[in-house]
Amino acid sequence: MTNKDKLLVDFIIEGTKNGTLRWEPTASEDELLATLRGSHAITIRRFQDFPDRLKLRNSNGQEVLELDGNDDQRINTIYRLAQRNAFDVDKTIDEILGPDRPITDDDIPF
Amino acid sequence: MINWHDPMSVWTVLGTVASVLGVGVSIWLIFIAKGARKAAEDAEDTVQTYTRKRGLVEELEAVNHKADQLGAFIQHEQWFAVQMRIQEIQSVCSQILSRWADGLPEDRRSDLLRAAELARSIAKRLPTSGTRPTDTERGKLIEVQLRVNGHISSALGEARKIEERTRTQP
Repeated sequence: MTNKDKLLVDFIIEGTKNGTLRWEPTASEDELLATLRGSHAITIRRFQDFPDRLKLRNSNGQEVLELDGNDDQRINTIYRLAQRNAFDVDKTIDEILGPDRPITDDDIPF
Repeated sequence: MINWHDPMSVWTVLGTVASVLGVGVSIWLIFIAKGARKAAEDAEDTVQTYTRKRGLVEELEAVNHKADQLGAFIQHEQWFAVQMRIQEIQSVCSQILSRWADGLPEDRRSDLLRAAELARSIAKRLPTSGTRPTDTERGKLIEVQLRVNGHISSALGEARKIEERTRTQP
């Protein structure tokens, strides 16, 4: 795994956390999809007994990079983050708790 | 000094003035011709842009129709036809992204990429020959197909808007 790959993983994790990357479920139960700059697609796939796998494809559908949780442990955290992003989990919890919910650190963007 | 009683001098003066005026008119005509050429080039550019955008809209309409058909084929469990439509959707989306890379904004290009990738994910979940999907599995395929349709429709809507804007430009 190169430094560039690590930077890409940083970019994906950061974008997933702050919502600039938008994930959505695919037809495969354990796979989520996002796009990067309108030119590349990334998928993260969770496996039961193997490390999670991240794939980068170009606009022709060709696979240009594949990384897994053995290459970088942080890849194993992307699926969970992407799932929260894809299903708007934080927003859903806010709606469930209503306007009287206590303010948490996540509500303060600085 | 000019001798206004001498016809030769008068003709010389008139000739000189006419030459100067001729040069002036020539320069003016050159400017006019340049302006006309620029206007013609601008008009040609507008027509070319419009034609290009029109082509994009037509391609997107075609792929949108294929995505509609994909839904119908999934409903009727016509898996071979589903496979064919998926390949066509992927191929057309990829062609649009290459050919009209600057014709759509980034988020609409992302929509086309998502449509192609979601279609690919449907292909991976198709039942093998001789088996039938459960209602849940088929429901999932239809739900994803509807999102394929939604993404293509977004790109189509944007392309139509751009085309409309190009057509009404002065």
